Amino acid sequence: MRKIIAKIVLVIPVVVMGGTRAYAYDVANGFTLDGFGYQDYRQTSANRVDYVGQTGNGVHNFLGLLMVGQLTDRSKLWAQLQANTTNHPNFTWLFLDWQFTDSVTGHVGRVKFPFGLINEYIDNKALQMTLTLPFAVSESADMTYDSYTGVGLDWNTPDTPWGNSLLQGFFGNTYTSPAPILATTYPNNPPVAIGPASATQMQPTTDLHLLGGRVTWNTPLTGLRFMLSGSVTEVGLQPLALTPANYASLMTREYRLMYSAEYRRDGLWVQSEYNLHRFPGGAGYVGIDADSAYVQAGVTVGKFLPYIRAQTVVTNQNLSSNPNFYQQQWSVGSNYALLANLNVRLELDRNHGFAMPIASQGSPYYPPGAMLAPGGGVPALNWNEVGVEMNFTF
Amino acid sequence: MKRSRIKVASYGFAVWGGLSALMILPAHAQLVAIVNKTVHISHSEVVRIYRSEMNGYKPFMLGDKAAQDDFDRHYLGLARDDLKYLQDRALYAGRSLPPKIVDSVDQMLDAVANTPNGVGYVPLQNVTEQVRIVPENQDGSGNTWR
Repeated sequence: MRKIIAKIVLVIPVVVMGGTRAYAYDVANGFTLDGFGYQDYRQTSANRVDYVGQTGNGVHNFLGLLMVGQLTDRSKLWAQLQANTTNHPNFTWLFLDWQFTDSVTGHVGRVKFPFGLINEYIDNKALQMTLTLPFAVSESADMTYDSYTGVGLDWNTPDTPWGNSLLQGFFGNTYTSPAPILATTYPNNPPVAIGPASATQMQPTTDLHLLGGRVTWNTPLTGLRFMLSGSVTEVGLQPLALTPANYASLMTREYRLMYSAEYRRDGLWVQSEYNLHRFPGGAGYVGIDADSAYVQAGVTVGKFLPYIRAQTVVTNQNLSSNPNFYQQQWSVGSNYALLANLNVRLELDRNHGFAMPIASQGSPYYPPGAMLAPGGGVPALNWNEVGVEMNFTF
Repeated sequence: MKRSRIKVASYGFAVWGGLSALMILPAHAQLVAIVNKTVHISHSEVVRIYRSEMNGYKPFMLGDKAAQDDFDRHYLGLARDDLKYLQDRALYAGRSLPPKIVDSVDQMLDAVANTPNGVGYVPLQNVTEQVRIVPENQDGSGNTWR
């Protein structure tokens, strides 16, 4: 606990130095710098979850820097550098944009993945309502990507009586870690058969030929917007038991579709998304048939923003009654704005099922002997999580 | 003694703060949206630009908080927090930069006049020949929103 306090104390001066600054630093003519980050502590009553350590609790740190260089009147270079508890500093994305006309912009490089609502600013907790991310944008469960490498085009449509839209299309490649929800067994549970007995365990290696788009509709009702995002990728599969015979490249297609809605105005903030992830099974490998949805709402009361969220995920529709593959969660929490750019959060989550702990551990890719429940034992069907977070921008 | 010194200091800061604000923007000024002379856009497009729903333009905003709130609420139809959320969302998604802050009306006029695709807002009485006023209504009539 002392270590946590010491780390928080170290971070606060950095934030306070920023004061109530609201916009980017103009470091040099045409070059701006924005910083953001968070630090949190989370503890579970049972089961291990994403980033939460062996004993069921964990501290996470994140620091990000967004750099934008104006190259010409029509072109900018964007880069986001980030570091966190588990990864070395790296560029999340780095791309060049070009303004073709007043309403058409192109992108090339490693571009932020325009998919859904929260995924677009997933790294910046200051822009989010809740402490824990919705399952629907979970990277552990392979629900979305962070970025793609390729080209994209944005088109802002003209105004109409029905509002206006932003249409985005993109093409390229994306790289993901092996999708853990192909997991069939869990060390503390009896094996779960999710495919034919002869099925070979496979892990996706590279997602290629990503093709997708998003439509954002800003309705005439100020503050209300809807989005529809979709993508398809070709996925190379690699058998877990690698032999020359089965190494023959297996390619399949992976589909994602996301529906998003948001209303934010005068202190009321409501967000909802539904994500559908399909990875059709085939000879020699098992597919993915996952769905996730959430709705969350918060109301600003002075410096407080209390909120509530309900969400569900099923990581395999064929086994939707098995708690390895489903999870429902109710969350309540509140934000408190200490400063214009410094916010603290407290959140309580009540869970039924443990699909996300399974997904985040990546069994059976996780080293043998890994325990879902702290200290081993059978995972708990009903369990709680509590978290406290401080997030900031500077 | 101590308390009275603090009081005097507080009054001093209040008077200085008030004067500073007056130097930036006269009270109850009627703000109008202005654009670079080469730009021809409508009122609703100005709204979209400040909400970061439209790329290709270079918006500016006054550093004066009262003027920001007035413009945000009455012209753009959103509270400052809601507007900042839209601008930050677009920034961190790598879509568009938020408006640049300028410290005074004179700086705003210069910035808009000298920046291709520049967009801003100033009190009606400060508008010069350097910039163009964006009509409030669709038919081009009117030039303020209150």
